[in-house]
Amino acid sequence: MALVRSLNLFLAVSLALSAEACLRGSGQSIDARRDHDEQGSGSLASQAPESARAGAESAAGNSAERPLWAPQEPPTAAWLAKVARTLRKGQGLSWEDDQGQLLKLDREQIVDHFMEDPRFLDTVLDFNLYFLGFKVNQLTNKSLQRYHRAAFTFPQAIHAAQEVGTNGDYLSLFDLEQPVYARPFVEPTNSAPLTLSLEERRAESVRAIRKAIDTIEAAFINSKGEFDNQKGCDELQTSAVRLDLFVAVLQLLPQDDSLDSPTFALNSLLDKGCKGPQGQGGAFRVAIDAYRSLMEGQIASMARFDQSVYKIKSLADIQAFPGIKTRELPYEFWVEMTNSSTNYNRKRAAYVLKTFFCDDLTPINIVAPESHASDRHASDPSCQACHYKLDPVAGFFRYRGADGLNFQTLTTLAFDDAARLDAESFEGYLDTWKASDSQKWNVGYIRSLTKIAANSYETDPTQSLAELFRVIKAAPESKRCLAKRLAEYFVSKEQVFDGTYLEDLTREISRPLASGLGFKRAVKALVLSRTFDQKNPNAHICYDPPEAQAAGNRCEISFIIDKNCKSCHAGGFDLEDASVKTEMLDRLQSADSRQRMPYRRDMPDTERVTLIKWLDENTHD
Amino acid sequence: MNRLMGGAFCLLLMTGCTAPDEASSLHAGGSRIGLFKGIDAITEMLRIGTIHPDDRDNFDFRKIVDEGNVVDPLSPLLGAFVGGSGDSKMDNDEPHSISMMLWKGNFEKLAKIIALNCQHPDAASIKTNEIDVRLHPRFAAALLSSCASLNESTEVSDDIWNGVMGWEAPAAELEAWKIFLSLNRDAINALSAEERLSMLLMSLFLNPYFLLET
Repeated sequence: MALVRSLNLFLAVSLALSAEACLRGSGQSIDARRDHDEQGSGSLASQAPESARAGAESAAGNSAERPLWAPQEPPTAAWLAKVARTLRKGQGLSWEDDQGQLLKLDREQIVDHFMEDPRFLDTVLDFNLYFLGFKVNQLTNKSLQRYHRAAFTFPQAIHAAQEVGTNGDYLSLFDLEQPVYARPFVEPTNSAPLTLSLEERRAESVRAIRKAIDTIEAAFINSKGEFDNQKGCDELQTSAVRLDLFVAVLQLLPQDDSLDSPTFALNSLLDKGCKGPQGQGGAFRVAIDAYRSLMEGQIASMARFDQSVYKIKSLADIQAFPGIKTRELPYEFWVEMTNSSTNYNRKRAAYVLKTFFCDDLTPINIVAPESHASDRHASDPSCQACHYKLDPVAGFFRYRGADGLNFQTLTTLAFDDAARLDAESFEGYLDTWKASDSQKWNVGYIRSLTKIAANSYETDPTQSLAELFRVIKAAPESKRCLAKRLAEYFVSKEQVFDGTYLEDLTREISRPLASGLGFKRAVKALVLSRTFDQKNPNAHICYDPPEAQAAGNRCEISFIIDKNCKSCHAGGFDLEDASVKTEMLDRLQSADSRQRMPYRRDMPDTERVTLIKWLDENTHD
Repeated sequence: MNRLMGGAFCLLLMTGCTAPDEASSLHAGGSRIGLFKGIDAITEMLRIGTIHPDDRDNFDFRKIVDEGNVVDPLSPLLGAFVGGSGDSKMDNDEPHSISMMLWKGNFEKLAKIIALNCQHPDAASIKTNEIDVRLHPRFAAALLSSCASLNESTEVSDDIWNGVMGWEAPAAELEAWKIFLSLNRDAINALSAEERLSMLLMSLFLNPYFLLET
């Protein structure tokens, strides 16, 4: 009861205190804090250290480009603590940090200092998983692997983070082909007696793996290429591959409830070899040989990746299996992004558009679409608002069935909902993506329904997944999306940002072959931004660049209007006038090409949606 | 009594202990401000400020929250990422009466465990069935100096505050907390040693600058 009284008193007293009264403290450390805070509130021009001004100028790199950050005020204690927490993966200032010394540095130097910390690369890894839509809780832990298994599952996340550490190619995040990162080999859990030494038990595992591969190969040889696909292969895959062989693999590798990417890729190969028509045994032979090579490589790597010598303490310590690359999406992706006999890979496409293009598929009217899809939902004009871009992206996954298995060389396809296509219906299914006027595929990233040249189409139908990632990596929209997510992650998810500011960040991370350096500069710009330093920021106001704040809550759309409307409407629009906003809303949403704005020009859907939403919110207030 | 406490805690959480005009704008603009930081962010803050550097990897607030609830862990209800969904979104980050009750109950559990150290101040630690970590010496020394009676020295108050809150909260917030302790000195000293330490810790754990995005 006494505790209750105390806390209620605390509450009452707290509410009664004015801010002025709160500041009348006498504690030394408070005075120190206030000193820093007061320093921080001085005139920007007079307070900016020479080094900061020079940094801002050099930051431009090119005199034609605007500096990424303004001259900086001296650091405050609170800003220092926030930067530490932001750049060190949630670990703020600690007792071990020499705060006095740090506060003697200027802000740029402080940011550089924290970016040198190994935990900064953990932050980058965490951001990468966030960007990919698979952010996890507790990314690092005290386990042998140190990092959550999701990081190993998405090798592009590790790869791109390591590239930041070496100022390399951060945009490897968009590559399909990735190294396969090794986790420390632990003690095998096979059935060999525990009285045997570790080496002997490992040797037992190796024997088991080789025997399993030999068994599969023997079955293949005995069949002479004509074994019963239905019976023999199902049995082979289920019992030999999925059980014996995978168990043997898992005894060698750390225990895990998921399969490694190369193993999964191999499963896909085996599936292709087994389920193909008679005479498709060649693929099976390739698969067996590939798997034998893979496993022999892993066996040879055992000493190198043994837990006694391979210790992961930071991201830079993680090594890849030599000579092994994966060209597959992770198993976790396929498990989560299931397809069905009705959605035809659209869930996978929606993920791609949202993740890599920041397009959440908000439905908006489009101009006179031509139906290219067979099902009614996708043909209906109102549905086409999404499907015109959703379906062509879904086409990249057209050969991927249940669990992501590749059915490209087959005449059948199995969906995750257990439905199966026979040869005839498979053809009909593929017609969904056939362009009506030719044999070409209507598969790609669609920017315009009227200017075909603006779109990015698949060019090699035999490599659909690789083509998808080629398109993603080449698209400027994916870098813009990356910059947007970067601002969300390092500053605030709901905060609006000025379009020109985001373009500046995009420019940095798009630098060819130097995207790692550009990534760091973009992050540096964000933590040196006025938005980051803002106490209690208004989410609808842009604080960077400084002049953007004058636009009030219009900053979010100023860039969009300048980019898409100014060439004809040089005088701009009177956005105080409700009738103007209503007219703009109508014209932006019109499906009539004579009415629709921008007139006879394309406008990215993400920008159109942002403008429409803003106008809608600010017209009806 | 519980209703009274719950109400007080929720109000405290929403307003903080600084001036109302500052606190009332915590939800301004619809940003993440005012939402829970989430259990992992809180774990990191506790780890950095209150746990011995050599034991930090062994501290996990989730283990305290989920003790006895292995099948249906409560920790995801305290602000956590879904994971593996293709959408990096934090769930359960909005403060409401149920989530506040969960936070309060689990912080009380942690506060009581820490407060038990008044019985053996030379080996200050957090011990549960799953956790055994030493407290940070500087934080422990400051906190446990109030076992006999409230120690209001500036240095001690600062160390307790910084151990839990870190260095991001406004100076005014620390000042208000000190004034609260000073004004309630007699009531606080009337508590038992464990109650006093628990109360000190709870007054920080439920501060919005600790628990919420600000």
